[in-house]
Amino acid sequence: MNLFAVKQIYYTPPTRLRRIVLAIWGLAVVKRLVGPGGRPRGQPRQIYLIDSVYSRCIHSKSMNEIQTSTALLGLLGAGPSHGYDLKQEYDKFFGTKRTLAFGQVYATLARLLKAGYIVSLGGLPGSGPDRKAYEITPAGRAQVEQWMFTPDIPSQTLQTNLFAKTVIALLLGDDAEHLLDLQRKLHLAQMRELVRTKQTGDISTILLCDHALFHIEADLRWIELTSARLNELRSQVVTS
Amino acid sequence: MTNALMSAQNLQKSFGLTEALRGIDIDIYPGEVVAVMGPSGSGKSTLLHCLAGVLSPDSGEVIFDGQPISAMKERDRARLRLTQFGFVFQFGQLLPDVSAADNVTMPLLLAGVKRKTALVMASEWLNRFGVGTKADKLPTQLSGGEAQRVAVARAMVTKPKILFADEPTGSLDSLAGEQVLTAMLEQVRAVGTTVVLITHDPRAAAYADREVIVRDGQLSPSYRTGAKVAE
Repeated sequence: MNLFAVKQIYYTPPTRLRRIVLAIWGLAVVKRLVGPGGRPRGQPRQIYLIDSVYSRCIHSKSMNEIQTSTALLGLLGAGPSHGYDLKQEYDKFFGTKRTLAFGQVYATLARLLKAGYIVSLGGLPGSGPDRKAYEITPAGRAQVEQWMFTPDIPSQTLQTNLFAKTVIALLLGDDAEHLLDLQRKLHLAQMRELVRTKQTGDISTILLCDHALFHIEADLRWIELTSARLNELRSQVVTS
Repeated sequence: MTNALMSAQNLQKSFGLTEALRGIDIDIYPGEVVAVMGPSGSGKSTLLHCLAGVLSPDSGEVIFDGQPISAMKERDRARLRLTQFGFVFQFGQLLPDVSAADNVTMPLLLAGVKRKTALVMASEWLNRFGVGTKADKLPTQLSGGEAQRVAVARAMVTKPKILFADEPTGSLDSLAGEQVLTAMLEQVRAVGTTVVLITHDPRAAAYADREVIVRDGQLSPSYRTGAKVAE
């Protein structure tokens, strides 16, 4: 229903029909906002609505945050390991803000197993209570490589995933410098696009582009610094 | 594919025990703007000086328009720099005791152009860079951005085939730097000049058609032709 039609209905005197049409339209808008699924029993409608929309926004923002399953798969690339040891390893490198729950580790391992990215080696001695060790398969290794060498869309949360890729690449003896170079290329390509947009844009467009350019530039400076400190990071990752 | 306007093959250059360039290969095509990026001390400026014939490489070759530059006599190289190459540096390097217009006429006078004609051409180029009204000012009377625009006008007045710009916006604030770059690239594209832009500033590099990264005296493998993901 278009806005004009809604306005027409809104400005007509209150009738039963008007109320029904507005209610249907309102429901459609809410559905579009919250997507499929429903309100949990007992949760107030207002809170449910805000919560759903908020979580969708957060989800879209966190696309570039660490992809836990791939990072775990990458850690397995360094050699067979148990779920318990994997969790410790993950927390050591990437758990500064939030450590990984054991439940999430085992659920992820089960998914990776089902996808054919890892195989179970059965019982092997390890540090934790679980006795099952896992090993990465060639398909899993290919998946890790694809993740590492696919640059991320520049965003405010890029660094965490890029940091994870860099650490995993160093851990696996892969070319971390190359993945940083690929990311730099994508960033500069985006900056070029913004510069082109600026050249034909009005002042509002120019300022919006500048805002984006400065943010991408900050990412690039982080990439430069990380690139210059790769040896330092490598020695820490490999010896720890 | 178009032939490269300038090619460097296996360029090596040392200063004492320091290896500044360790085997650089690069092709630069007519009309393109190439940004050369890299950390401080990586060899960017040495590369520019070797490409421009200011420094002679210890080994390797620079070929410009089909001619090897290193094989030329110094006199021929100087002529080449005067007529075919333009230079812009970080701090403009304008002659402090003469006016903006006289600074711009300098390469023309050295190339044998008559002073009257040179002044007309200088005035035209100063206008193109939006500093026509500053023609009589001394460099000390110009703002940083204006001085740099005069410096670019001086580099472009001979319509060089290649413009070598070493951190041309390094000493300017964001807005002045952007104005200098926009004016410079508008003019080089109009004339068809190729640009080698040395910069560590990503925003300056974003004005280029492509970038290469110099690291420890070598081009980063990801920026070499046909570079593949390391196994």
